[in-house]
Amino acid sequence: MISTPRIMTREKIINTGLLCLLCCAAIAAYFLDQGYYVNLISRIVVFAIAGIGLNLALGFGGMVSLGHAAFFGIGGYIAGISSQHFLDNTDVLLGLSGTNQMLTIWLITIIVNAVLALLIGLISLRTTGIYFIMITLAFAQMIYYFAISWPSYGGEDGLLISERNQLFTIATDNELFFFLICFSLLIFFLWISSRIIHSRFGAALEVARMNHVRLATVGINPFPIKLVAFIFSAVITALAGALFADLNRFVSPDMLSWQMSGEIIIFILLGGLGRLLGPVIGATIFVLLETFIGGYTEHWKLFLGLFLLATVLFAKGGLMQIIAGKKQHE
Amino acid sequence: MNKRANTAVLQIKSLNKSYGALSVTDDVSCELYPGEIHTLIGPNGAGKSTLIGQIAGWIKPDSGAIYLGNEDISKMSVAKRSRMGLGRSFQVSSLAMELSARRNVMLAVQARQGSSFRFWKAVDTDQSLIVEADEILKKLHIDDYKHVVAAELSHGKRRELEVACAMALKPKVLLLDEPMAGLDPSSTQGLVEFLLKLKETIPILLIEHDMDAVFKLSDRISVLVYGKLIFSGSPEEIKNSSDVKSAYLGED
Ligand SMILES: Nc1ncnc2c1ncn2[C@@H]1O[C@H](COP(=O)(O)OP(=O)(O)OP(=O)(O)O)[C@@H](O)[C@H]1O
Ligand SMILES: [Mg+2]
Repeated sequence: MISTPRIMTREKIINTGLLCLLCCAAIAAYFLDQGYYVNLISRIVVFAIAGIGLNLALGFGGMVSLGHAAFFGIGGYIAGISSQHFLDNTDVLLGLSGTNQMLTIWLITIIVNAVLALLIGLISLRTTGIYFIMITLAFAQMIYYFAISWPSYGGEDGLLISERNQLFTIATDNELFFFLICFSLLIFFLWISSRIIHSRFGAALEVARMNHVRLATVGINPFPIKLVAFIFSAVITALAGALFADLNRFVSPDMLSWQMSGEIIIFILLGGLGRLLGPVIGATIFVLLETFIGGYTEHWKLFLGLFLLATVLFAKGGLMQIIAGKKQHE
Repeated sequence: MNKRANTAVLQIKSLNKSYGALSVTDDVSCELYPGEIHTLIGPNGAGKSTLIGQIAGWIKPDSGAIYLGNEDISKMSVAKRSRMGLGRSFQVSSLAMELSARRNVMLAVQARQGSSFRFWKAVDTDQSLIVEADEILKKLHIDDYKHVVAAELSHGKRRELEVACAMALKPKVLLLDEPMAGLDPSSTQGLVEFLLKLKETIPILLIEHDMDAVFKLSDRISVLVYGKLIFSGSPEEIKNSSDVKSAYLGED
């Protein structure tokens, strides 16, 4: 297999095309007065961002985290809690008032989740395989049960966000404007993760996945490499969570559940593990099935299951491999 | 050769390791001096690879110490030992199989430069990595294969590629576990010549079954049987030793 730069360009063209399609669909839906569909595409975009986050850890670093819902949900709760205190004009913690400014909320989301991912990573990355899966799951479940039993923020019922948080003075209530915020972040994180993957750090991360013995043998300790990737991964997924809460004007413990972790993994598997645009494709299929088959039957997850089965059996590289060919390494 | 103990580049001091009742390293002490190739021979299962594993840091010895220069490396991680100057190749190749030969060497160059926490600049156009990787591949006569992914290289070429990766670390010492296995005669000849030139700058602890290569390369040969070093001497002494003949050479 000799590397052909041509195929890379082909993948790039396909990627650009898919993103344009997503964006045009949202704009078209908006001007056809189909606000519902604009929100649906925003949902795809937000899920895709969550998947891009996890893809760094799972697809590129080989860390099968079954606990990314923790980050997704905490991002959501930060947006919800901050907004509630802002609207009630009360303090979140002593002297710290709530805000409805997305930028501040995102900053807090980044800091909180980076610290949390550091702690979880420090413990879980000492293990691999099934133990790593179980430890990440255990942490997420702890946070899930904590959220359920904490009445001040809705407990089991979740927390309504009566007004979407604001980005400067943009009318975030407008479906298209909100979509464009999400879409810009999608492009931003695609760009960031593409840079990271192709950097020296990314090279070390991929070898940590392929063969950690090789990495250590050249003198690079796999642990800190994986830890940093895990933190990046968590932060991106958490930001998607903050957007998700604003999109739905609602945050609930469901966002923290293990099913949510599983769904983020499904986005990646459907689209293509370790493919830059894999999560975008996966999230699209997921939301389409959820909406259209889910409209006929509540057992739509059966179809999702079949779809996933077919992908895993017949297209290990996900749909991205079918449309753009095998993943290329120079 | 001056064999005062303090000149040894690598020094193994009464190393012991057993798996249950099986003693795989039995009070082994040996040294590697500048400018030499010291070869370990011994029957299958003698504990040669296990010894290399302990030096490189994958296997924890039960007791004993390992010095690189004047530094006790026995407590260091594998990665730290590599950075300190231990380069190695494996009996069963351990490469990034999905990456090209060049990318494998580039990773080693990157590691030596100590720059793996750079998140922005693309690797595949990074001349500081490519130029050096290509030079090393050329020195080992495998630059024709630089764009081939490791998984598609023959076993022999993979071994040579591992040596190339080790070279990229600019090591103080090389540990090579059967680098000739699976090589065709002309590649073996090429590698023998390469190692003979290389030992001037980097001493080599070699494990090898190909006795022609062993006698061509070695300054000193040690014989390991059931985890014990039973004999150590020049190739001539080895050839003439009846103990070695009965324990090892005779079985060939
Ligand atoms: N993890 C382990 N647990 C138990 N026994 C082991 C383990 N690793 C190796 N051994 C045993 O230790 C002995 C030495 O193995 P080693 O691989 O070091 O031999 P070797 O001299 O390299 O042999 P070869 O020439 O076949 O490569 C063998 O009998 C092997 O079965
Ligand atoms: Mg061996």
